[in-house]
Amino acid sequence: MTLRSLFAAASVAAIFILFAATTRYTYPDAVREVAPLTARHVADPGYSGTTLRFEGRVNSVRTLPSGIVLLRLYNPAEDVYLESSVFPSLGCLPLKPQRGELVRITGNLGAYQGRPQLRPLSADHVEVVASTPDADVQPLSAALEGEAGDVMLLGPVTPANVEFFTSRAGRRHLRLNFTHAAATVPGVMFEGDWTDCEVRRLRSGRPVVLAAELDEYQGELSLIVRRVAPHLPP
Amino acid sequence: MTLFAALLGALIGVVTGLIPGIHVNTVTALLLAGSAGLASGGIEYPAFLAFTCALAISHTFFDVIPGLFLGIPGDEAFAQLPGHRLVKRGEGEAAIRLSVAGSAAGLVLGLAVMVAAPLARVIGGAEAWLRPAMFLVLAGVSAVLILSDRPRSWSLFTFVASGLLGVAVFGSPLVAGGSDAPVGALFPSLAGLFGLAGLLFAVSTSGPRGRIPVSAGKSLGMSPPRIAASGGVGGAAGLLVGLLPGLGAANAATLLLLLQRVPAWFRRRFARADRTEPPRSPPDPADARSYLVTTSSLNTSEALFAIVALYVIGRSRSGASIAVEQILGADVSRGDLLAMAWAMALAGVVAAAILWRGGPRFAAAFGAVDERGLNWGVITFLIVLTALLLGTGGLAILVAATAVGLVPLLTGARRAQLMGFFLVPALLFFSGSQGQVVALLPIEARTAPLLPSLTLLGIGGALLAAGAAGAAMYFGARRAGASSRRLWRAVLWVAGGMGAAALVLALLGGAYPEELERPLPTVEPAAVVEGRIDRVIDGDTFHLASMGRRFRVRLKGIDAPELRTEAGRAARDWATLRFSGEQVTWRPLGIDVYGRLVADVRLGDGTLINTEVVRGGHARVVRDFPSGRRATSPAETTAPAPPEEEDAAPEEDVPAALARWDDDGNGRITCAEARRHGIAPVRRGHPAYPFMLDANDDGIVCGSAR
Repeated sequence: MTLRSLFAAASVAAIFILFAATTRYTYPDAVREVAPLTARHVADPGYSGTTLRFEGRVNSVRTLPSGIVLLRLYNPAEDVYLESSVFPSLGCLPLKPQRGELVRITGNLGAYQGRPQLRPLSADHVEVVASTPDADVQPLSAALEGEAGDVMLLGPVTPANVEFFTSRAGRRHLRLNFTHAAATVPGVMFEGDWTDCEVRRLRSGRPVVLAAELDEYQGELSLIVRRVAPHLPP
Repeated sequence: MTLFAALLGALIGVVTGLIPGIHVNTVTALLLAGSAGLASGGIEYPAFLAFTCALAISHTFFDVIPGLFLGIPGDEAFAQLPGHRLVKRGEGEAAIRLSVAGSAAGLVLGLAVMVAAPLARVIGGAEAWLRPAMFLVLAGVSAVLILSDRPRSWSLFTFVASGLLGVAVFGSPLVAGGSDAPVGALFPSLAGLFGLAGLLFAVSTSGPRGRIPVSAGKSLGMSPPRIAASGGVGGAAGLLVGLLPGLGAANAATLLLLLQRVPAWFRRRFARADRTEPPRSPPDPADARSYLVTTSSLNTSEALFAIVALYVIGRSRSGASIAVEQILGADVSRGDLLAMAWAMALAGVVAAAILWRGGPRFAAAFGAVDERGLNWGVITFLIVLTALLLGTGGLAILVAATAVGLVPLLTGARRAQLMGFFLVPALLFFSGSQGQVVALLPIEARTAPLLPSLTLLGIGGALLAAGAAGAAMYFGARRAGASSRRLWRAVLWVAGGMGAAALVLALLGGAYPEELERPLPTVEPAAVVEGRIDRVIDGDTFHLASMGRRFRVRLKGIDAPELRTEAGRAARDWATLRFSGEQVTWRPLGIDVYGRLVADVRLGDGTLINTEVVRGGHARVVRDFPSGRRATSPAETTAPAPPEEEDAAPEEDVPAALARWDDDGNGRITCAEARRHGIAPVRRGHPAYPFMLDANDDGIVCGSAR
């Protein structure tokens, strides 16, 4: 092996180690005790780049064409509006926040084009604290007893036959099935509701938790799936 | 103070430029990290701004010198380029002066574009037009750089490896704060790729002492028009790479080199068609001169335009421009631009004068420097500084970056391929397929929290310790000469000395590893901050100079008419006369939906300016602006309320209406307070009305219009 091949191999190994260290990194316990963000933190340049926590209602959520999820949050107690951009490089959000939800973000304080931004430490540091359908997660059997129009959190369920279809209007929806005992419940996820992360999550074969609206389609129970979160065993 | 700061910045830029392996971004990052500490010493933002801009420009005049004389590039791929050959021929002084001429040409061109407002608008428009095709532009440039290089396989390898390194580093939690931190993951990356790799290569290939021939009195060998032409080309290329993301001076220098070869390529093609082979000639010294002028011009204008980009396209493109953005906010006005221009011009004049007059001395000094010793000294400095500032994570990145940085040096590929470090992440971003790539490879970005705040004292201490270690290593290596045993003895002495120092610091309780164990900062900053009203934007928005930065502050709870109206301009003029330049105390209270700081601002005597503007009849009270209603009819809503006869009260510090009805003293009269005093409903014209919220703007508060 020549010297240059040796150094090339060393450089590849070093990069691999950096990637491995990134995925295996565990956050120090101190992250849980991080200070809450106030307007005063934004005003003091000494806090630029500092890790802080912000809790607020989602005022707006927007996914840019580049895949960046841009959240605008409002904390009435501190009277602070704050933006947070979740880059695709951070990976999949455990649960994509929706308007009105209470969200907690832990990240580094920065600015983009003069506006304060909190850059999450990771996708896991964007937590939905309180969701709009304030309900407990129920098994799929609960859906069989519900009525059309009910919004339920169902899980853990393992989806099957996850496939895309194009509607007559040219929209790309997702069709899938959920199996319970002897019954199979069909479901649909409309364009605009699903994200790449959620499709991957549905196709992973692992159990998930759904936020779904009960519907009747051709006389049968059907689920209109709004969101898909990973099922985390207690 | 500002003039002194600009001069100091220019002089420090001289020093940092002369240190091999130190990038201007590193210097500005260190400066930013310490800015809060300096601000508490009363240094305000115009001084910081002048210092940063002057340092960035002065640095570019001088950072070519180590590359010219020692073959060590500061940050770019100048080492094997023609300038070094001139020096080896004994034309060091001429090379320095050509470099000065090039940098000056780049600076003059850059300043001309800065000052010419329409040109800046044209450039801004062109960038906006190009932005949707940014992926194609960057991919095209990358392809040209790789395909024109030999051997192509190693060029591609270097580009991809440095790109993967970039992806790993930008999402690495190994350094606290990641690439967001003032002294973060970028420092060891750039130091390894462009600094340490070249230095290690130099110490492993050079002899114990390479004396540089010096012969003074050589003419420049280029006519002024040719210098101007070459400088112009470099300046224009600097403009391009200064405004585009992911590209640097190294890329532009390589592209220019390729362009220069195009005529020769055509000549060869023509000769081949005639079946006559042109005789191979040695490299033309005139080309080397021209190239040196072009690259120097490019280097300076790139640094300048990266800062101008903040004004022209609203985006920062370099470490220096990030520093400027942190100081000024995104609100870069034409006045700021002109202030930066004079600081840069001053730095250029100082740097050019020092280099032009001191050229022979610099050439002689570099001739006397022990090249090997200097290399070892800088290697030690970079390693020790990384270890002290960033710990083991920083060292891991430094090692990985150095390994990648050595590949082109060992394989003969161009070092410009290392710019893949920035280009590949930029390409991924602009491709829009970042999510898919992240899903395909386990490369989710995670950032470690920024645990201890780096203080100016800590950074200064680390710099001093690293400098001492580097100096010790320099003298040790110089003394060792060609003896590798003595050299390693010197290395062991320095390492042992650093270890002993670390042990003493650890025993004293101030060592870095202990810092890592500290909890995250939870101390709240002072609620009330001092400052000065720097500029009045309109009746309810001011620029405050405070804590070494400039803040755009929106006055809490009031709304003045927009500037497009007569009343708005009157409000601005009134507030400018009344408050501009005043020393104030201010309390940040919130951040509005536009990301602006909302605050209460008080004059030195405690008078609340928010109330004063309303009292002066130039604004009205609102709640939750801007989610509340704006003043739709400025003339009507902002006209001073004619005081009623029975409510007329003598002038006091506190308006009579507030003194009578504002029970909680918050500068506003609520409906509860109005009802308590029996004045509800309050109609427009009542003295209390300007201090109340008329949410539906019907002229009646705390009651119905019917």
